[in-house]
Amino acid sequence: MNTFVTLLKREYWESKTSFVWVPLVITGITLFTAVLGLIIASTGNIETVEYGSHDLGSLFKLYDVSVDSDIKAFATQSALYSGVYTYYFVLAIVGFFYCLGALYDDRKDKSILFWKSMPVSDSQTVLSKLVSVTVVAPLLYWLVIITTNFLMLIIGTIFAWLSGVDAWSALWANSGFFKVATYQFAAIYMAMLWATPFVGYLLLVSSWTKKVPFLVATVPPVLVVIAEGMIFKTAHVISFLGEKMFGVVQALVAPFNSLAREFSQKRADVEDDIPIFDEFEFMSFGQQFQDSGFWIGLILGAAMIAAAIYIRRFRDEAF
Amino acid sequence: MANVISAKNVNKSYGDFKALNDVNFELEKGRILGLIGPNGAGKTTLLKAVLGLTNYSGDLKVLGLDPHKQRDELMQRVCFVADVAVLPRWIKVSQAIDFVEGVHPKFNRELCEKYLKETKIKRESKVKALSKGMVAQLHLALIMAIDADLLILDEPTLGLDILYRKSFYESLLNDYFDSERTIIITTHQVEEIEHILSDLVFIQDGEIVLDDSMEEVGQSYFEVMVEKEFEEAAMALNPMNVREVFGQKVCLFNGVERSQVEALGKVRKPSVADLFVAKMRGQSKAEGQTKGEVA
Repeated sequence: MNTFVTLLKREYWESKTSFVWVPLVITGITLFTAVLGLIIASTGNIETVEYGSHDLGSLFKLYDVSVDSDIKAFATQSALYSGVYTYYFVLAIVGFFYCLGALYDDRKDKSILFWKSMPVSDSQTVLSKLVSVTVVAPLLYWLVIITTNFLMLIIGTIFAWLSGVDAWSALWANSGFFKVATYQFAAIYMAMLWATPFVGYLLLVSSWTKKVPFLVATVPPVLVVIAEGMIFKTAHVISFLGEKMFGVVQALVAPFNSLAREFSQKRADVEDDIPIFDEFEFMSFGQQFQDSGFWIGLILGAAMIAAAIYIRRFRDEAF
Repeated sequence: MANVISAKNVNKSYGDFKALNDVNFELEKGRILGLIGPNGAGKTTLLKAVLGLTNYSGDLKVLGLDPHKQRDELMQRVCFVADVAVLPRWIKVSQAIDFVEGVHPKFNRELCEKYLKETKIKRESKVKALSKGMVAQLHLALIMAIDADLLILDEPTLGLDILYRKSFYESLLNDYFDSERTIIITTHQVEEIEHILSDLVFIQDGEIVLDDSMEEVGQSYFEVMVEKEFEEAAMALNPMNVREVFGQKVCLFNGVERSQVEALGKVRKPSVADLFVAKMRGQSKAEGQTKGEVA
């Protein structure tokens, strides 16, 4: 166990920039634009638009006493929840390049000979990289997201004080801070499960390729899709890939769907004429778990990871 | 006593190229073996086979284990420096120490710190900021702080200055080596290690051409500074190699009695380097002859 923890630390040391500093920079930009936006918007009559990762417009509605508290709650919660999209998008890019380099970079610079001189099995090595990108990195991103949420609420509080509004009733009581944090946590990991076949594929390429993993990983699928379209006039491969990518999006949107459903049910009790917030065509987590494509993806991912381990273990390494 | 390494008919080919050709050798515990051979002779392939980094055919046991199949178990007891400057460039010195401590149960942190104290390496530096020599020093400090049964060093001192090379081999012999440990070293700077070796293996074109203990080498190979008047007599004994030093012939003999050559001039133990040169030349000469006969 100690060995595995050390391996995870090793991955963290190597990827600290993309695992910690990159999301923190996004947070910095978000907070900066939030403050800037609030200053500009509060001094002039300017329509606010979305800045950084959070929708600011909704923050202003909070201080409008004529607005119903349910609407305030929905606005705050969806604004806070929306941060997950930006961060997950960045995590996807970071994870893509992490996976491509994970089992390739050390072969390229020969440091694999140092790693292989240690009593660490190749399964442990590969699994430590898998866990780093699917468990550790999302956890770090999630921690940054909830910290950002908290800081956004602090900024809102300062703004509320300046506007002479009670921050607790207008903001904190409606924020659903812990609920949103839980939803974001669930969404990120559900999305990671959907992304498993991609992670497995990239690790396999990283373990197998002798050069330019980026091209080796991206060109063949594109060629296969084109060839399939030309020869068979079908699009099974692209629809398979699209289905898995859509799964990732679906996982991220599902919690927002729940927020919207809770909100529209409450509204339906108050007024009849309000149009019921139609659910998007997205599956809930429960439905996703029953989806065969989800499980096929997981099995394929696991198979490709096993292949990556096998190659790592038995390939001749050049001295 | 079980041998540390026992190789029987080990073969390895890359396509048509035979990197190892029926290699047989045994290595007992508590020895320091020098594995010497020209570039491309198969040294590295042999070490890779011993370390389980490549597959091969034939029977090879290292510490009683099959290195290819039982590599994970083997690495608990074997350490190697495959090449200098293979430490990852992004890692900090302190992280490298923490890493080895975390994964290797036989790592002794104090010992590693002690070795590093003799260098100018700072704990906070990244490997990419270190000079090539410092990287090698760090690597050796990490590896030597591991209590391994078998240590394999492939060109361990490449790029290091003479002062550090001397002190490295001294501490290898005095601090690290004991009767429970076995070391295999390859290097091109043979003269620097010959005094610490207990065994010698020459390898050429994938074949082992010499496998003796240093005592045996001293008893069966003689280098004679032949006096002018005995030159013909010396040639009659068919020396392996003849070179001239200040106009005097220096002959290397094998398979003759010491008493036979003592009369010819001053007799001494040949240096490993001279023996190596003679062996390699002899080998290619012999090959040339066979080829000539065929033609």
